[in-house]
Amino acid sequence: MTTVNLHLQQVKEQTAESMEEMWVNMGPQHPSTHGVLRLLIKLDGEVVRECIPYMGYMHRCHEKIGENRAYVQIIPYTDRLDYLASMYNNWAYCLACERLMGIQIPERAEYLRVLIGELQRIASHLIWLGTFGLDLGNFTLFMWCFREREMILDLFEAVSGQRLNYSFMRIGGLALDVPEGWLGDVKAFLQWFKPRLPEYDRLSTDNIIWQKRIQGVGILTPEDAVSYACSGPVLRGSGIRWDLRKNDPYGIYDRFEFDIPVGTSGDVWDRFWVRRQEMDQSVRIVEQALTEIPPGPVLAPVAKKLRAPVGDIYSRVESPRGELGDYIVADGSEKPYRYKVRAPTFVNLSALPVMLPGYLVADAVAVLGSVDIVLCEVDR
Amino acid sequence: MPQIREELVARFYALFEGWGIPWIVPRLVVMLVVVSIIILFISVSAMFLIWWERKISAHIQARFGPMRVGGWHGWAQSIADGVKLLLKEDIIPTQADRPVFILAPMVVFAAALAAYVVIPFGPGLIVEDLNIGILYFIAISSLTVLGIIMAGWGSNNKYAALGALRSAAQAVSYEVPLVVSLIGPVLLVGSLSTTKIVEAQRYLWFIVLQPLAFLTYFTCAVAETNRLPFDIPEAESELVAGFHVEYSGMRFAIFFLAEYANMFTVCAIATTVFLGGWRGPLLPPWLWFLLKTYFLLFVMIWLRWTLARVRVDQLMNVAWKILLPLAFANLGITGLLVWVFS
Amino acid sequence: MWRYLRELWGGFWSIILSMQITLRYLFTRAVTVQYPEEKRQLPVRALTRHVLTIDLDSKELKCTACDMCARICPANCIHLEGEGKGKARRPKWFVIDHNLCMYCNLCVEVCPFDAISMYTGMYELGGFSRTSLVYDMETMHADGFYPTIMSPRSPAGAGVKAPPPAGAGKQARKA
Repeated sequence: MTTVNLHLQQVKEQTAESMEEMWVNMGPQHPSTHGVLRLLIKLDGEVVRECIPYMGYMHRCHEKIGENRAYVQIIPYTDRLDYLASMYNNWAYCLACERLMGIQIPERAEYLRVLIGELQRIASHLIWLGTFGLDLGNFTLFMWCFREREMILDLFEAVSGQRLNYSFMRIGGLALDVPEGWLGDVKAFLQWFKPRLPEYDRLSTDNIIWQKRIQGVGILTPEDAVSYACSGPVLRGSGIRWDLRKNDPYGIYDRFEFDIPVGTSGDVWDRFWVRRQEMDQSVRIVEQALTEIPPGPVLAPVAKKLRAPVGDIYSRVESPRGELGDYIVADGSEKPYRYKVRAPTFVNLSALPVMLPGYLVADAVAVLGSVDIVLCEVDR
Repeated sequence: MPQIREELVARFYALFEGWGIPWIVPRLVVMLVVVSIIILFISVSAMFLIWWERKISAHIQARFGPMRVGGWHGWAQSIADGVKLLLKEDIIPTQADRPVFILAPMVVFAAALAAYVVIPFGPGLIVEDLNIGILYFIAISSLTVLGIIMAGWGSNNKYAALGALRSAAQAVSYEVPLVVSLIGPVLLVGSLSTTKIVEAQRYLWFIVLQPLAFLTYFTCAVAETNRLPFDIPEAESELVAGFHVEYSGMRFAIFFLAEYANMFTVCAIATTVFLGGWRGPLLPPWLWFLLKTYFLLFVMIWLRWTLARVRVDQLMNVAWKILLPLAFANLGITGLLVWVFS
Repeated sequence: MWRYLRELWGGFWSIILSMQITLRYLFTRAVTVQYPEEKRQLPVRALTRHVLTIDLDSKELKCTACDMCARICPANCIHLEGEGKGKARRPKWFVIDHNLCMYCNLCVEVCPFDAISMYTGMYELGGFSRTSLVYDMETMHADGFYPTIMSPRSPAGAGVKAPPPAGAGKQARKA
């Protein structure tokens, strides 16, 4: 913190002569920063010259808590990282533990994980689309997206008992099997959902005001995206075809047929378009998974008191926001020695200082919305 | 109708003259009565509009809107909101320019109120049929800009000042295509008086003859009243807050009321000039007028809940590079056709 | 010039299309429910307030104060003390602090006797003080509420009653 303040002091001294430029706070309490994020923006009239994001307001010592809990007790805490895509947080962590402990999970559990994961991706992108519309001034899109998301939440409540922080996956598979008739409900949901996407398009993709607002803004070049280690739709929007489901498959993703949408120029429009197409692809994957699920158990027989062998592992999944990684160092006991989470939005947010300068301050909100941040994940 | 009104007013004046009271008193009394009726109408209309807007926006978004206050679909919600605003503490910032701060909402409301003089609610149901009706309306509605700048300056808040200047720039920019698009129908009628414009639409409404003018006028009307998609001055999610950020309680309520009054005014003028005013079969004329105006208000509300916000530089772009050329094109074609067919 | 006009027409038409779909939604039924007059139907597995189950025949708490739930709870919100030995062991007092509980269901999963359950449907737990959210054994006694609680693992309640189908959700949401 002190080094940043020092830098700020120097920067302010340098720009003291210029009367036009001023530092403006897009403060921690702001309707559009999607949580408690502070952006210090240097404005030259209406144009942004520099942007310094201040994170850390939501830090809750997640990783330190993980050092003092048994492996299965950490699972409810992982939910609270990226609470809009909880199933993926669970999956990332359980995958890391399973790889560390050498546990093989049953087929049915693999298929259900993919199905639930892709439904979660749809839900997460729906929230993103709704809040993005809200930032741009379109309240109706927000309400419609939330209506669809409610249906997915109902499905998840039927299967896990919780609407937001599911802690549904366990090391070795899933906590419970899905209830009877649930798969039919997923099918019914898809039938309701597929015609809704063109309706959203009418208000967003095909609307002239929306297009004019977000085309050509907030460009992130492919070189910058790679050098800042961005991942997920931020990386794919810049034109780099990199998706962990295809490039480093986990689970049984190699059995499914789906495309990876890739943008061309790295502006806000491309990131929006990539996420919008990802919703289509997720629907495709869910439909394939529905037809192929085998019967069987959903939890591998694991010991009640899980101990990990000495060693470490880094394993990653493609969450809706990017590469979500878990690094676990185990020392043979029932608690991890060190547990680190690589939060995708933390890394993507650090690329904001190259995305904003040169554009108007009115675009700051749109660019921030396109990065799709969840502050709880940024600050852990 | 005009004759009955004239006779009543003349008898009223004669009464006072008989008692030896100077001539100015009964005229003032009549003016006060008329202004009170207009203010009452504005209040009721605004309250209804606010409730209606909430209901429409809710049903578009697949939810219900106000349902509880007053029983049937929350019809008393606006009244409850008004009472709440009245009971709030009156906060004036310490370093604020007090006279300017206090006068600003009154200037805005006065400008919105003064425009009601030329609105023809029916044949003879007009406060004063000025023979420069449309010009008067345009001139008075420009005064709201003064009130906005006063609000921004008087708040002693740099963000409010910036927001006020932006809003003033928007209002002034959109005045120009508004005026030019109104000249088209005036050319067809040959008079600026609102009653004559309505009477000239006996056979055909001007929206058929001047569709481009109507579209341009309506877009400018939406921008003038600071509604989405042109609501940069009021958008709370942008960096710079709006001009009325320091106002709370009754002062804010006056701004709010002025906005809805303004909405009614611009839609009323659109009805008068393009939709045939109070003309229509079967129903009483004032009912036709209100129906048409409320239909246009419905379109304004519908637009607000469909579209995203336009960015501030794109807003200026739309005004100067799209609407103004279109309005001029319309004026040119109208002028040509009028000259050819006369 | 042509590009300008074409873009203008395209933009205008896209706005008309957006407005068309909004108008269609104006005349569809709302999907929200008027709480508290209408309430949503909770699924079986919905995690709500804890209850200590009782044995149907002896009407006694199944809990033997083995401390498994307290040890597994990640938030350390379960506290209890037992008395007695062997088959006669019962909890002396049992407290769950719902200010801390994260509704993770680990305590229910780990209990070897099915003695605690969260599938009770009690979610309206608002109170005026923090202490009102700390529940003791008497409040959480299952007697009077449910003689036995359905558990997704027990034969009686193996995942019955899936939620209403998504498309028909609007009608089926009435209590």
